[in-house]
Amino acid sequence: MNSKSDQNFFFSASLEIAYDISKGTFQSISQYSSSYRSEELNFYSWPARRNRLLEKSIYSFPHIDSLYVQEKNNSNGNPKVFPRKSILRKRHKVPLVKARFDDYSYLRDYHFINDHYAELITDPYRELIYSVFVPGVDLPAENRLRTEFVAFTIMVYNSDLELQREVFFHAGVYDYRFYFVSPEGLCLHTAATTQGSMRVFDVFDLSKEGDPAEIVPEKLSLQIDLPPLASYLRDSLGLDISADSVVIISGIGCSWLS
Amino acid sequence: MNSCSDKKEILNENILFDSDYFRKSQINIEQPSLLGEASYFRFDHEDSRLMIWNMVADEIILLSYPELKPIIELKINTLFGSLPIADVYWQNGMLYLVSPSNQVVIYKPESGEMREIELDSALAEIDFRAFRISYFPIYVEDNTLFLCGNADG
Repeated sequence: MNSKSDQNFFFSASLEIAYDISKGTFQSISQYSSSYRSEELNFYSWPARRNRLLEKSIYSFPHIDSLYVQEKNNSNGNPKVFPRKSILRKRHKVPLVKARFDDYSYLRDYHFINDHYAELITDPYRELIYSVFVPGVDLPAENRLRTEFVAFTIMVYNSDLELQREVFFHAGVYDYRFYFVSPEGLCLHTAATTQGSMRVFDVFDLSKEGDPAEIVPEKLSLQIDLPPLASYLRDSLGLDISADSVVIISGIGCSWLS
Repeated sequence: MNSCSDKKEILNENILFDSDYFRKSQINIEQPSLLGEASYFRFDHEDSRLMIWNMVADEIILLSYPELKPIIELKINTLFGSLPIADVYWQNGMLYLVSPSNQVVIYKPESGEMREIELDSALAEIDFRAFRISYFPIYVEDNTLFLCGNADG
């Protein structure tokens, strides 16, 4: 975990640069929100997002109920700010406990506790912006949570950053970290196929008009008996069956011993 | 009495819709040589190619779309040595790779042409370091490369 001075240093610099490949020149086009320099949140594993649509950079910060837009013809000015707040945004921010900065499990699970905005996806075919919102949940007493065990919503915006609708995805069905946008729609990775050789994506047309069913979510996370840690690591890291111990170094990676 | 547009706005702010209504089809992708969960999928809208980047296998596969047949398979460490990769981006026949040390490689598989751009010293002046992870994807537009970064690089 970096110190406060590191935090100031990192987040005072540019967030995005534009590099002209022909001319070999670059310019800084945006900065981090000031809260990155002042708030005690685990920004290092709870990152902001940027995507592009119609020559605009759009930024989403996990803890901020706004979207920021930097237009091409205003690259030296401040980004425009657009309101954003999920219907399920209800929790107050849970600050980091400094005494647990060296606790890998705590840092790993920290983002599950807090409401946060995760992926920011642009759809050039429909000129839409999708902001994934993940409501904070209580951590199970003994089991670990996985991303796909938590429900999420997708807030759909048009290119003028006007909210069109918010769509609820039940816990346990999709892993929102893995997706792509095709001519048919937003393709979301089904949670049941994140391992193995056949990956199945469900395709969503979030521009579809009509009268979708309204929903009142009751369960925001699944409580599933997970396999023992050794089996979990072996499967998720693709380890050989002969590996009998794993060394994990927080933030750097891991190695295994046979 | 609210107008229709007023009503729509009120609905948008207070109602969640079930995702089932918007689901229209399914895509199955076979990727036998890739491992674990560490696969990232990106679709190039200019030439309709689906790129799969697997960080564990150190491999990039381009699939035709909608056939989903492999067109190009690249081993990153064979092509680019031990260059650590922060993000990869396929657009219009070109592969763009960026490393956390602010090195950009532009590679054209069709001809084997490769161009390396060393940005580290220039970007160090503004304390910029490209991300090690792909939360902010590289983006190329009008011959301009958009790079995000900082935090711990």
